[in-house]
Amino acid sequence: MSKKNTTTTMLAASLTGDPDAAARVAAHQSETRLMRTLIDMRVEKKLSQRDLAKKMGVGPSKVCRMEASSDKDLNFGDVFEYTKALGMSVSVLFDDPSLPAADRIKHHVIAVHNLLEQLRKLAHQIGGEDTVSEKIKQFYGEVLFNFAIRFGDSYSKLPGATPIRLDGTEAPVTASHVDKRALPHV
Amino acid sequence: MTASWAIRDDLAEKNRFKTFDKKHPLELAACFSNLDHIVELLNRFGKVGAFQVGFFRSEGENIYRIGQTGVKHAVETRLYVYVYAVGHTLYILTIGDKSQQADDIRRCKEIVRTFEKGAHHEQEKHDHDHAGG
Repeated sequence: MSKKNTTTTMLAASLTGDPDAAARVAAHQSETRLMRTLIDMRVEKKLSQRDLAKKMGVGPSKVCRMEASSDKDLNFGDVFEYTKALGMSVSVLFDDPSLPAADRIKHHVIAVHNLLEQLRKLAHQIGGEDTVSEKIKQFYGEVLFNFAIRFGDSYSKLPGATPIRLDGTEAPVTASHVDKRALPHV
Repeated sequence: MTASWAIRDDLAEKNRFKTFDKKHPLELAACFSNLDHIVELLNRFGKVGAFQVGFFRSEGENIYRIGQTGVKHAVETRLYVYVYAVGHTLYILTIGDKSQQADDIRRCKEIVRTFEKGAHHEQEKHDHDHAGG
């Protein structure tokens, strides 16, 4: 049997003749999602395990062991050091799926607002005439536009809702209009 | 933009997968999950030389082994694949544990040499047909 452009879960099931093999592959993917993300970030930064170990101040075998772990066996301190060595920081989002959707949305709105406030403070520090400050203003426009589009789309699908038209808007501010590289990390 | 990579099992030793799955199902699943990760990295970075991942090692002649990760007290497992860069394809070859690796690699190399001879003849035939108009 020849297979092209197929998934690894399907291949595992077909090669072993065991349909449960697909579920086991999917389970492993789910159990190593965080570690996979960390590896991807390291590769993105063009760092080898050895390079990263040096930045972390540990031996290469430590990074090798970490990357061979499942997420539940990872030590939070190690994850913190790993991301710090990549020049990144860790953000933890506690999400409770048992909460009503409305509460979870409020939680996210507050988180987005906090990030926008960080950008606003940065714009003030830099001063109004600076290019970076201008980019931040542009980015605010992009955020508002993207939110309005998604909100409108979702709202319009509510039973009995009148579709929202975004008439009167000028050329939309899209990601292509904003050079995100010019934006500082906050 | 680079073409996306495909996985094929045309060259796979299928009986080995059945047998191995019965003995070490979690290790086999981990290897296939890691294969998925490798394909994703290839799609993003284009070639095997563009990234270094601990569970993905060269065995020469474009054959690579993918190891298991995230399984406690695991049997050291190797899923062998052939990276056919021209066709942006990963061919699954076989699976085995560390104790069998010398034999496994030898067989994998034989499979790949036969495949490459066939691919070479196909290419020559294609070139000849097109040159003839």
